[in-house]
Amino acid sequence: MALTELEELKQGLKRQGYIADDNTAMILRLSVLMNKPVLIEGPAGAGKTELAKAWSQYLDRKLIRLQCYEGIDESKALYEWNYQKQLLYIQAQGSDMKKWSDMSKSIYTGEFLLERPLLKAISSEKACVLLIDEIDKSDEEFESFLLEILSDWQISIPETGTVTAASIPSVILTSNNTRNLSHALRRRCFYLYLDYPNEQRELDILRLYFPELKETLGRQAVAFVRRLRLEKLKKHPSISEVIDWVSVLSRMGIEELSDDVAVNTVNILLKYREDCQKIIEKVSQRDWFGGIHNP
Amino acid sequence: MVEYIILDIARILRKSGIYVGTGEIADCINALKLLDTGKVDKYRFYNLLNAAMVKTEWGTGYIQWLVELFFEPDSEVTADRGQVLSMQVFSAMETGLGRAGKGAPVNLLVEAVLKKNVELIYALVKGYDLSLDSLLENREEALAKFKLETGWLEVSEAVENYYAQGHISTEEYESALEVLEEWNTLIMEEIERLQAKTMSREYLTQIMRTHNPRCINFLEADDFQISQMAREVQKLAKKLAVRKGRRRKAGTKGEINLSRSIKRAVQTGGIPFRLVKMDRKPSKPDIWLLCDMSNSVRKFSYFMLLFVYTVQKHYSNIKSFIFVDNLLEVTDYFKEQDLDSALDNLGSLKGYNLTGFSHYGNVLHQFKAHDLALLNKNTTVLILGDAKNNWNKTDGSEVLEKISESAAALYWLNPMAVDLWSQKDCLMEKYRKSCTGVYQCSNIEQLEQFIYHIL
Repeated sequence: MALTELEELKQGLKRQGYIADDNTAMILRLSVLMNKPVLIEGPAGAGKTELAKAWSQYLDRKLIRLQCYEGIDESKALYEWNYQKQLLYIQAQGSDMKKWSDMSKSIYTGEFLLERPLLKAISSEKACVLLIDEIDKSDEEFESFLLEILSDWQISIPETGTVTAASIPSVILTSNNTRNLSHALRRRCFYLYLDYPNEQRELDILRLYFPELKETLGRQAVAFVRRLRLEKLKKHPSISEVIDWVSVLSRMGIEELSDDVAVNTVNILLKYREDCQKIIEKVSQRDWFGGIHNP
Repeated sequence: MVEYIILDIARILRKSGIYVGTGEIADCINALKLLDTGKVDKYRFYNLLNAAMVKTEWGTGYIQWLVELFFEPDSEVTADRGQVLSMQVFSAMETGLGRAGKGAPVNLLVEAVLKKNVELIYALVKGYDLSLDSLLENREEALAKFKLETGWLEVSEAVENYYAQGHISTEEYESALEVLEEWNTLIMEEIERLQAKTMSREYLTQIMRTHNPRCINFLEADDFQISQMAREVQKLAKKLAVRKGRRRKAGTKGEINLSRSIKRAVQTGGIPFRLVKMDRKPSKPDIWLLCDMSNSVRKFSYFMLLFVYTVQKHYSNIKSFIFVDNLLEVTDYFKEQDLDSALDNLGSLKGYNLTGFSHYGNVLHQFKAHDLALLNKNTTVLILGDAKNNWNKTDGSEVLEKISESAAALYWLNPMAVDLWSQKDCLMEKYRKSCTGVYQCSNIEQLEQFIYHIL
């Protein structure tokens, strides 16, 4: 793989509104070449889900998303038999009773199968991007369902047999790192840790969204956010919140970030009252806020 | 060639407590081939090794550290710094100043220390070709020899003299001490590296192990490691909290309950249109935690409080206590506030620390007097502490027996190494008899093992 190829990939992602670093580009490229899923860990709001979206647009593939939650099981993720429809079918056939074997064959066919995201992803003719979001929220048993599909690209359905993939999707799993994932799952994936962007990358991201952004305001905003992320807060500002904030600032026609502006708009960045209060107090301290003016 | 290096690294990683599968090694080698190894720069290489083998947040740094220890320090960095050194030394020697250690002039070094020029010192330490052969066994000796040879001793003496004679201010003196400390660390690192280079593989894995966040002793962690480890501890506490019980309840998923489904089918004319499923009900574990807060286990108790707090957030039936020489219940205290403020304000709590020395006998007797009656057979009691009774007469071991009798189980987690359990004022061996289980818990790996064991 030539380095120009990676550069191209980065440019491609940038066109989709995502600024990736070298490491991200390399791992994504390798994952496609080697047909391996990528497990992305990092703090909430660092752009993990966004990356998956941009990646699917860049590859020009459909994005199939499976949002995990506590208690998600195979009937919500893999497939489910449409039980009510099967019942109706049996009732409709009731008058001319066929043989049992015919019946059991006909009610376990594709018609009665409700495809859930995972099955949909591997049965689609055109390869897609499968995003398994926030896998750490699901229960540990759920991870085991994923193992078969992630390494062998197939799903076993007891009634009909094994469904092998029509195309191999590019799989991205994200995790907020609130619990340890099993070794079995980690072993099957490439690992990528996605932290909040550094100042330069964050500035690039803002420029991408606001081409008109004033140089001074951009630098001050990025420096301010960086400082917020260094504080001990309940929730740190995510990239999307920073974008919202800057868009408000630019609509207000603000050219320079003063302490008044910061105090009045900090609730766009921080979503807890305690956090806001803490930062408003900090802003009034000269040396904490002072450095932002000449970053 | 690269294959062998990867295999070697994987082997070292395994020995230092990181799980690396054969498939992962194969992936890593394949990926390197795809990347066309001739063109891969080293940071890409570290990142790739983390992506394919270590797979953690801190993995890239860890790999970099291993590679530098194993092969050579970053040649780019040392070369740059080396040049700085030779130029400065050269110009200094032209002016005919004295020399310290093996070449650099003392004045230059003192100046470097005062001006916080760490680069120069780094170059100096790296620049020496020190033979450690005879000193490998003894790190103290090696350190002393190194300090002499690089001029550390002379410079430190000079700085002390300057300060004594009033040539430098207190601030300058303090910053100079900091630099000297850093110099010392540099030397230590260099010794570590040289030892790793010349000594056996076992030694290397031993050092790697002590730097693996999962294996770092709670009592020895530094600030940076503490924040990494804190996250791991919270994850483990969560694991303990979400385990499922055996009782079942009706839910949207789970096994089909036939009798209930048929009963329900009566409403739809005998057709079982909706199935009733039974899911496992999350159990409500009943845990009491007693956490030692004395100074000897200060860092350990920080982690344990984190653990206690996280568990308590998920369980309703939990009571937490802290103690040094007096027992204090903190269940409500923890309930009222979030983690950071709870830990920050611990100092404002009164009544658990009267003398500053832990007194297990007293604490256990208090427990018996006030709380023993509330214990029931479903409760698991967890004591976290080093069992050092500070030579107090009452040790409360008979109370422990009673607790164990009235609770479902009594576990003790001790951060100290097992061979110290019967030494000095540690009464672990005595307490052990009354406990259901006693575990050494000095790092995350051991805590994890304990949790898997009781689950």
